[in-house]
Amino acid sequence: MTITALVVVTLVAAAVLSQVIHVQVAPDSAAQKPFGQYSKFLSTIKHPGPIPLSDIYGNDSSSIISANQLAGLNAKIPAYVPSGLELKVIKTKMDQSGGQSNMVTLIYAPKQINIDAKTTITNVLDYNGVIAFYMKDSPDKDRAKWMNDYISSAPGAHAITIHGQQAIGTNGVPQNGMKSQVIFYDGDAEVIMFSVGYSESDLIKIAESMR
Amino acid sequence: MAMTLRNNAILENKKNIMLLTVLIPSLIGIGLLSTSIPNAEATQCGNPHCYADQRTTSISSLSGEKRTEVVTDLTTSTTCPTNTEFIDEEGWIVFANNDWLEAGFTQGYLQGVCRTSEHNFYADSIGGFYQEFDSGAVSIGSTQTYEESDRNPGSGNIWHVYINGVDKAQLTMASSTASFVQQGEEVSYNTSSAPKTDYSNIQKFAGAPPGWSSLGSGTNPFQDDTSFGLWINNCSPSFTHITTGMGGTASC
Repeated sequence: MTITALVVVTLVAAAVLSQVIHVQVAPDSAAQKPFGQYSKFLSTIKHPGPIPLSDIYGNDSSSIISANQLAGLNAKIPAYVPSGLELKVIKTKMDQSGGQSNMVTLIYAPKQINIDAKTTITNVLDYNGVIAFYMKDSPDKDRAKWMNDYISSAPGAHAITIHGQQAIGTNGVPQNGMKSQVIFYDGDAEVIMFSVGYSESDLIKIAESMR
Repeated sequence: MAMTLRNNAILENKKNIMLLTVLIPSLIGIGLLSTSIPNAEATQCGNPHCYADQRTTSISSLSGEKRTEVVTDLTTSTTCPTNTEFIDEEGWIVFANNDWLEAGFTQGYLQGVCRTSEHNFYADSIGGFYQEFDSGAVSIGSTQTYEESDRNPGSGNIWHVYINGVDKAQLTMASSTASFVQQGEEVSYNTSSAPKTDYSNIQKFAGAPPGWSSLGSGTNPFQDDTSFGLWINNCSPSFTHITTGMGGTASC
């Protein structure tokens, strides 16, 4: 009888404690966002098949310093990321024809998520991860003209400012699985950051901390 | 007597404390796990569609993809049962920000209409916004050519979609260089069947020079779930000529 009463008390205590723990998580925590929204969106549209991260972003690098040395870029780790996210992997992709398309990519995901050789871009977006990559901008590109053209071409894209310079933002619809994106420049590198789980304003905050 | 009762009570309390010590962390752990592990979506195909395609990675200055296809009868016993279903025979260009361009022929749900015969189409996802376009009906047995490319690096990342040589769309993308190409079949429901479809003259554009060339190394066939009967065959010349289908026997 006493044990039965104790079990009931324990269950109630555990339920109360788990609620307390739940409400103490920061509002922008990765743990509070539903997983799988991007796949739901994809199920209704034509789209490419699953692509492993390494096929797009290349090989793992041990540090941002070694990635930058290899790629000839100056990618930066953001000082701010939303709570619950952590840097899972830094990847480097080398352009075999002279380095113009070398890339350094930072992949963030919730702490409880494992990223391995089979993880795809869809997986990262389903887990509300954030992907940011640096790539050398084409030297013969007229940036101002391209920005205007891109904003005209991409519904929802608009001019924003990052690091005091003109940039492009797109505010997605997380509950519909549509990604948000920011595109900005750091010297001669184009930086693109995107996520389904995090809004344009979240991405701007991350981008502003990449100094 | 009083002493024995007191000892029994102490023993009982110790037991209860031990029980609580084990139960509380276990229950909290179970509670936390249930809120942190993602729920797997039950899907018929894994991604969430089925694919039989070939895919090319790790090539430099990728700025285009083109191919020739012979239109086959993709009509199935169930057409658009929930107004999302389709079968495509197509090619894709994928960018590092997960934007993409695609073109080919399809049967099923397209641009808000259930097409019960084959139609050419192209689609794009730019900055997360998806659009698809019906490019008109095509006859079974006819030969169609498709190309998505940015052959002019100084153009400002303007990519074109050509169907049978006609410039169908000029789209400003985030980059003049794509990361990935695919060619093959996409099926949104696994109760379908599709006859063998022939893809030939498959080439990539890798800047000028070298211009157009065959896919070669870095290309691999991919079938994400053979239990649905999708197949892809690499014919001759390798990766330049493929066949795909759903059901039946794979052949060139």
